[in-house]
Amino acid sequence: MPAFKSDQSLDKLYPKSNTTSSTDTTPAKPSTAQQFTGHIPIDKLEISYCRSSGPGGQHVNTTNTKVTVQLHLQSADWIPHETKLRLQELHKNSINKEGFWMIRSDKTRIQMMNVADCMDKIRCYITEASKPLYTPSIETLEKIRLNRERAAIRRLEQKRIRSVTKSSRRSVD
Amino acid sequence: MSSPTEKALHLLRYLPRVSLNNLSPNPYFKKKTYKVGQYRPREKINKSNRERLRFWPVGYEGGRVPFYLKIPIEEYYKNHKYRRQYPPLTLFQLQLMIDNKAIDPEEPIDLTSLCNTNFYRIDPRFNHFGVHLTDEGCNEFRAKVNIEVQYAREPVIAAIERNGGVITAAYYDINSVIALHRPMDFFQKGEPIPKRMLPTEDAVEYYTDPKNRGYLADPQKVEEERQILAQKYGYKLPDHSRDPIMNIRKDPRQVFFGLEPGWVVNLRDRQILRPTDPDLNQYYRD
Repeated sequence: MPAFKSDQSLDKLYPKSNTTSSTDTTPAKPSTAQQFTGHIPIDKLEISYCRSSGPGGQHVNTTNTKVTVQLHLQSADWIPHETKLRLQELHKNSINKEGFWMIRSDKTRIQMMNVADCMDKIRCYITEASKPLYTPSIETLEKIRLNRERAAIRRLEQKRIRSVTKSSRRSVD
Repeated sequence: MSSPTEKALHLLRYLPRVSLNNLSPNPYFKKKTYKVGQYRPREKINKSNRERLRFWPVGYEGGRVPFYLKIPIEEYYKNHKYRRQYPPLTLFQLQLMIDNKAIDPEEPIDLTSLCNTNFYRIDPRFNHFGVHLTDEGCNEFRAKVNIEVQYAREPVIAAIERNGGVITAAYYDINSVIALHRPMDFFQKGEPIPKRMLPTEDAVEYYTDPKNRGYLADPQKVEEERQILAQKYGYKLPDHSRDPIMNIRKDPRQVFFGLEPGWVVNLRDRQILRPTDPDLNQYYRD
């Protein structure tokens, strides 16, 4: 018995699309050593759960809502090298001796949402670390140098004035 | 014979017992009835500021709703009697139903399966257009299902997809809902299965959006959104190519799985009657 197909069936509305569910589970734009596209390979991460802190009575005492995502930074071939160095610098407090970067979250009461929060954090941190370092322009450097010079001149001027005031208070020998 | 009184009393013996349903009103004692909108004299009982030469409170506008109360207008319940409603069903309840074998996860789940459990009920007379799957219990949800609901938010979609399932949001007009939520009662009517109507103007955007897994959305875009959601919530997407159950979907004009619109189900003789007229068949496919 052939399946019922009306004029609004999906193969008529979208003739170019494949109507069966995904057969290809590889991502369209995976992250590589050249560029971080925002895609994180989930099998390279290690997700563990533990109990959260804070108020909540029996529920917080018994449910594992805190999520820790571990990833080994140096062996991550999906993050560019320069980004890795910058991450090492920025998040040195979260990276342990073995080189594992630990990202934790106990933002919500639900474990699933805390996992999502960890993923969001990783993505944001890597994106931030991928951005080029701020190098001030020549005009800015010149402005800073001039400001410092003027400040020094002012400071010495004030010093001279103060000195005159103080010496005028001393008795004339 | 005798006097009128005696004749009447003689009649009484053969007439039925006097009761409230064989009395007629006295034509000489008619109470005056006023039509709606017609002036009728009313008794003035209480005296207000008007009758006592006092000042009205600040902002009074002669009796109509004053400006400071009317603004801002909060129309939360405006036309609530005419708006569609979707009674909620939590993921926790769904998991419970599956664990108690009230629902078979090996078959596609739709509104009929949920209503057949008798644990979840809807009433189309109250403008209930289907089921709204909520995210309470999204963490405890572990079943792999192919489920069709009428409304579901992102965490619910993520909870179902991370367990390897499939969720679709589909629209049913009220006649289709009446048929779908109590199929046996509908078949007993002997009416042909209705052609499911397309969503109303305000609902089209929701049901054509791949983010909501709408049944009228582009399947290619739905796949892309599945990838995005898997990345957002941190799980790996399973491959559905080896699972034929996960690919079963209803046609947008179909109400029941396996049955076409226009068919008449005869429960008594255990038969299905199909229309033969080509025009009628074309109507049900338009």
